[in-house]
Amino acid sequence: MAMEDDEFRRLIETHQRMVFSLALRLTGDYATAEEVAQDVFLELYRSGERLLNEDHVRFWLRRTAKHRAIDAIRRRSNRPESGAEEWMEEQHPSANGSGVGGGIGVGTAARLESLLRTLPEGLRAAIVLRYQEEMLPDEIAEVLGQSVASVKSQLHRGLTLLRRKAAITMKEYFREPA
Amino acid sequence: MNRHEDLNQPEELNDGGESFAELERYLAEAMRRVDAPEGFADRVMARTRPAPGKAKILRMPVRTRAWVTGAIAAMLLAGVLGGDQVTARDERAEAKQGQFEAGMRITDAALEHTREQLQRAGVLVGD
Repeated sequence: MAMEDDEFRRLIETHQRMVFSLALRLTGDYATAEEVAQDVFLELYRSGERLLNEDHVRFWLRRTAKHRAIDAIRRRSNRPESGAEEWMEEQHPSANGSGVGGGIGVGTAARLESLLRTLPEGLRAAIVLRYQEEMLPDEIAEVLGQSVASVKSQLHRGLTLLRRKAAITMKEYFREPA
Repeated sequence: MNRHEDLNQPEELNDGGESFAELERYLAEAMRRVDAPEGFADRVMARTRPAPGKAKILRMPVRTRAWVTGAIAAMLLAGVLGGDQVTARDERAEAKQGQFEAGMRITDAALEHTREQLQRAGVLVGD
C-alpha cells in the first residue's frame, strides 16, 4: 500500500535536492537526472510502508538514486559527460571568478565537475557521496554495498585520477605530486 | 564540526605522504547540492495518480480469485450439460413432429382413396 499524499510530498520536498544532485552528478545530464530522481521518489512512494524512519529514508534514497543513475547511464550507453555542458551553464551561470559561498570560483567549480564526469562510474559514485553528501567511508560502503576497504581504495584512486587530470587542465590550481 | 574536516585524516587518503587536502577542499566547495528543477515535486505527485481515461485495473485477492474461477467453471459445466439435455429434448420433439406429419399424410391418402371409390360407386361424399 502506498503512503499518504501529504507525507509523500513532504519527503519529496525534504530530499529532492539530495536525490536530484546525486542523479545529476552521476549521470551528467539534466533531463536524465530529473527522470532518475522522479523514478526514485516513485519507488519510495510504492515502498513507503517498509521504510522505518528519516535516516532509513535518506539511506534508501541515496542507494536507490545511485542504482537508478547507473542503470540510466548504461541504458544511454554513452559517456555521461556528453550532456554535461548544458547543466553546468545552469548550475554555474557565470564564470566570473566570484567564489562559491565565499570559496572557490564558479569557473573552478564547473571545471572540477567536468573532470568528475570523466571518472569511471564506481569511482565517481564514491567521490560524489563523499564530497556532496559529506559521508564517511563506512557510510558510503553501506550505501554502495561494498567493503570499507574497497570504498577507501575507490576514493584514493578517484582523487589520484582527479588530481592528475586537474594538474593538466587546471594547472593554475593543482600540481602533480612530486 | 564540518565533516569535511575529518576527510583528510584517514591515512588511506594520503598519496605517498602528500595529502589530498587541497583537492578535497575544492571538491567540497564545488560539489554542493543543487536545486531540483522548478515544479519537480508536482510532477512526481502527478505520476502517482492514474492517467485520466485509463481504466483502473482491479486485482482480486488470490482466495477470491480461486472461488470466482471455480464458480465460472461450474457455470460453464452446467451450461454444457444443460445444453445437451435441451438438444436431446429438441431432437425428440422433432422426431415426434415428423411421425405426426407422416401419419397425417397416410390418413389423407387413405381418405382420398376411399372418397374416389365411393364416387365411382355413385355415392356423393361432401363436396
